[in-house]
Amino acid sequence: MISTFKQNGFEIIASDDLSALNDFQKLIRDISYKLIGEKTNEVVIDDLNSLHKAFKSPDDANSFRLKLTAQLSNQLDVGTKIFEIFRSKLEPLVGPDVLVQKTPNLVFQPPEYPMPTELHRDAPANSPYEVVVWLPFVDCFNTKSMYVLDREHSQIAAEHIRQNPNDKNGFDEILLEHAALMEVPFGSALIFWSGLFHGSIVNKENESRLSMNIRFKNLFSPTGLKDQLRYFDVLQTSQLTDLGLDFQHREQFR
Amino acid sequence: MKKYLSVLHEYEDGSFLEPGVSKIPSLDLQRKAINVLLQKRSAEQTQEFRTGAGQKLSIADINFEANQFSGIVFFSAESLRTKNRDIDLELFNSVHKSCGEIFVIVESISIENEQEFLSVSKRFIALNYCVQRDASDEWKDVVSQVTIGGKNQ
Repeated sequence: MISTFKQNGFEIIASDDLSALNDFQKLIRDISYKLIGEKTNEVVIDDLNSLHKAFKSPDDANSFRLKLTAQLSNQLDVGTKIFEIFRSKLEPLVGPDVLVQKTPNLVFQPPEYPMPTELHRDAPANSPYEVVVWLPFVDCFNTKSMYVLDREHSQIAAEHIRQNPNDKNGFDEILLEHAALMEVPFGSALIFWSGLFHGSIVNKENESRLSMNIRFKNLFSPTGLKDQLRYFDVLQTSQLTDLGLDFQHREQFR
Repeated sequence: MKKYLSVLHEYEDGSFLEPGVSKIPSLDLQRKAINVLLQKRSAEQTQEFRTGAGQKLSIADINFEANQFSGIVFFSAESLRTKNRDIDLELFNSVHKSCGEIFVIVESISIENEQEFLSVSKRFIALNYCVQRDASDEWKDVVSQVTIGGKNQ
């Protein structure tokens, strides 16, 4: 059972199947190097850490990211793969009836890339019943990683904005004091509740960060403003839910 | 060459509920998207319908056209929703009976056989259950009781 998730709203979890995650990482490396037209080396993670050397501008890097996302989606059911790799931690959170984000977000942050992810939280408008899986394909630490404001301080920050909508300095003080850069080695993932403030800063390390984020929720949990049909697919349902839906279908469509 | 009906949706201002995206898809944009799908399927459109702005899809119209097309392409599932935001299952079932194949572009729904219809129908049933529950006073009462600081704390 996840111990600190409820208290903090986040946790760094180990994969259930490192071999499958290694294969996933290798697939990403292979597609990436085919796209940039370079030969691969023996150590997969070294190739990914030095990926930035192939690009001259942030636009080139972003164009590569979009192509990589499309090719990866054509070759692999990414959502199912990630759920399987971390199933023992995710299923107790979302239950057996699982919705998965249709299109996972692949993020490429080369060193000094000037467009980090701005501070935000998913919920609202996303459902507050979603869990975000942030999966790095390299070792992430310091500025190469992302930061999270834990549950207590996310609530304090949200309350501060509500009461002082124009006090950006006060909000930044909460952030500076309490946001923590996550240390997430390859082989693990950061999972966090959709209500947490999070973001990233400019990567000042001399290695690239390649990571993916994807959301899971229960089929029957409240939907939030994001359209469930548009953004989520059904990943799995329990046998009991299958029976119930089959029963309702026959009742409504006879 | 296969022939399909198409359904565009006229969104009301502020009704395109996609956080962060304020631009409503124009009818021209919707037509372009439908044409891309038709081209991929080597198909052509026989007739265009519109929903929204007080118009609902009429099964009578579709039945009149029966046997002259292979299926129907919706730009969005908005065309199948009731004013309460749930999916009109009766309409959906009738559309399937009349049209056979159903495609919905925005939601990436593709129904080409009975198994796919069954799968999508069940998804709609689950979604409707959530939409109706979330809007109910009973649910709001449950939430207020279990929320930190609520009645049961």
